[in-house]
Amino acid sequence: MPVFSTVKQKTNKSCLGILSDNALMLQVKAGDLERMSLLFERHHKTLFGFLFHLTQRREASEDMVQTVFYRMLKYRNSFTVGSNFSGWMYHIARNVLKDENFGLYSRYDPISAHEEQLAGGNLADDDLEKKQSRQQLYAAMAILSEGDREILMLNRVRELNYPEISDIMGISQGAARVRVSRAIEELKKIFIKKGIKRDS
Amino acid sequence: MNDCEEYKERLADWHMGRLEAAAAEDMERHLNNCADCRETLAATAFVLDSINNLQDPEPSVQVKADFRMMLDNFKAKEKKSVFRDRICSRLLQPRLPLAYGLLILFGIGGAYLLGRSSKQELEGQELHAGVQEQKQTMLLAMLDNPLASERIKAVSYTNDLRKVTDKVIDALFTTLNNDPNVNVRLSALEALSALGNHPAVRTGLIKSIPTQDSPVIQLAIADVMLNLQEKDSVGSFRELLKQKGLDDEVKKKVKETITKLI
Amino acid sequence: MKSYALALIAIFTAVQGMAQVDRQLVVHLSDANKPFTLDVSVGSVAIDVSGWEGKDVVVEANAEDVTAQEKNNEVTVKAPNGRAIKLNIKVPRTTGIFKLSSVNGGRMTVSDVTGNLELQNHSGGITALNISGTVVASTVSGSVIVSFRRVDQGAAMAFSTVSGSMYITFPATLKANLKVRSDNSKVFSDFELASDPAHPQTLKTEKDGFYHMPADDWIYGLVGGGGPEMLIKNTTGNIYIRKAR
Repeated sequence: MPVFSTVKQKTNKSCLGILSDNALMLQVKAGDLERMSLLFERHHKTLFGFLFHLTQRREASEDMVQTVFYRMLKYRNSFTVGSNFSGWMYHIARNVLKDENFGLYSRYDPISAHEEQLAGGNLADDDLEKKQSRQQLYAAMAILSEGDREILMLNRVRELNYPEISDIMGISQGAARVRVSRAIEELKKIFIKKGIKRDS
Repeated sequence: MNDCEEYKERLADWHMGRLEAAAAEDMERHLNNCADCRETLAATAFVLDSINNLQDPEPSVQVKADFRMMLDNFKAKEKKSVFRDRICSRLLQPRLPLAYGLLILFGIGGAYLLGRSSKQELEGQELHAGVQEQKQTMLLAMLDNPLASERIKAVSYTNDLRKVTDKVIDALFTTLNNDPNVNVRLSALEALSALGNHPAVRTGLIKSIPTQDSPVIQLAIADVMLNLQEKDSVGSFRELLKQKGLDDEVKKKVKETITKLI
Repeated sequence: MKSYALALIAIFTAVQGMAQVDRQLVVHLSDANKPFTLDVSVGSVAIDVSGWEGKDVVVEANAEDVTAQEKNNEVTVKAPNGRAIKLNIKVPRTTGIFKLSSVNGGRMTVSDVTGNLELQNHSGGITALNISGTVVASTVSGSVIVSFRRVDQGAAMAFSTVSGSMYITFPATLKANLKVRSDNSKVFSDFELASDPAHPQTLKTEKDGFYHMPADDWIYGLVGGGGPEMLIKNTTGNIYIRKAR
């Protein structure tokens, strides 16, 4: 089990009297299970977004959110003082994705995903333009390799920096930086091919 | 002397605010003087911003309810296993003469270890079982709770299930037909009435009519059948009217219902 | 663990201020610090339960052949059928599980207790006053009057009768999903009710601040943002769902 470490605790809100995620998780580990609901309040939406952007499946993503929180409760003893909560949570999320055979290790199928969108009724979007640009981005992401797609979505999470991403992926920080950079370059090329331009 | 490559590699980091002060300053100075890198930056920024501007969809309200159910269930299970572990650990500290003590140790310890490993197996299975199956398992177990309030809660959880399986429908009928508490039977009836599009539910409800002896339930089931416009229930209602000591209100309602259904 | 034990002291007294008491049973709980269970299932017996400062369960009856047995804090009270018997039971104020059921005994009353109450009656109303905990109550003919000092968070409850008014008073901090129905009469509430997204409806208020709703079908309303389900139903008789002052 990798050790998640952070040199600087940038998300330590304790000076405001609000407990940081790490502090809360340590309380859960100590037996105060109810604290998990506060962590749920804070993070389930972003976690759901992460899973959704990688799978395009709403119901499955909701179920996976539950599984991630269940596993964090189950394995709370492996969370230590040096651990980083978001790094740990997204590491588990990645494992859950693997287990559910979505996104990462199975073919990302934009067609059936699109069908589910039509059937399930996705994001309520007032803005047709916003919807179109979102569809464009998803289509572009579908062309990326699974690894590139995954690392860009991890990178997108505010609470995850290179130390956490490198721990999650099991690579060095330098390698993580290079991969992010390469994935961005790939996506740039796809944007050009698809004629996705920025408004000047 | 083209170190633009190095700068280009770090443009994304700079845009994301991940460069430390000195490096950031250095980058800014370079960008000031390098149109090419500025161009690359614009493209990089566009990609990163597009990704960052992806709207995180709103999860359904069910997610929170599911989490609450999962957490409550987890807490309850933890209490039980803590108790069992405590007993086991006490048993494993014998203060008896060594030989005798060892015998007991092997016996109890062995049993404990056996119990442990099959428990782990079960947990492993739990982890792989889908969230929906877990919910169903929790719900079905809750329907056996000794407290009526918990059984009523379990019935209300069936409304949250994405897919109501035959197992759940059977359990609701068992509850409707056998639960000792009138209010629990009533809530089971209401839950079943929401599932009226399952033909099995309609048949089951019709069969249930003559078996109900509580006026509260008899009246409610008449409402449900009327709501479902279930003409096939008329026969059962006629049978019910023959029941001895039938409450006057019930007689009135059942007659009304029969008239409206025919 | 105590083996099956009958713990009772029978005192034949005539107690003042109460109708003839033929039997008084003082039941000691195995562990006064743990929750207890009170189980009374009778035919034509009037049941009255109230909380008191003592540690024991005290059963008073106007009949001789009433028994009370205790095992591991579970107290079972039995009384014969066929005659109008009155049971007065005093219980400690610690947490208890109450399973009371009567058929023909008249009004069933419980007051000043803490815990989980399951009350079933038939020809007679149900009154539960100053309760801290959870109530599931049902009868056929008779009104249902329940007032809470405190409710168990997250606990589902239900109140039903056929003919009888219903007065349920909850703490002002209540969080619940109300599901209410009276076939022939009206529903009144001074709680702020929000529409349940799963069952969108218009909930009407009138000038005195009460919701007046004719309810020949289910009314769904969220109180305090929503919570466990509270089912309240009758056929005839107004239903009042009120905030405790």
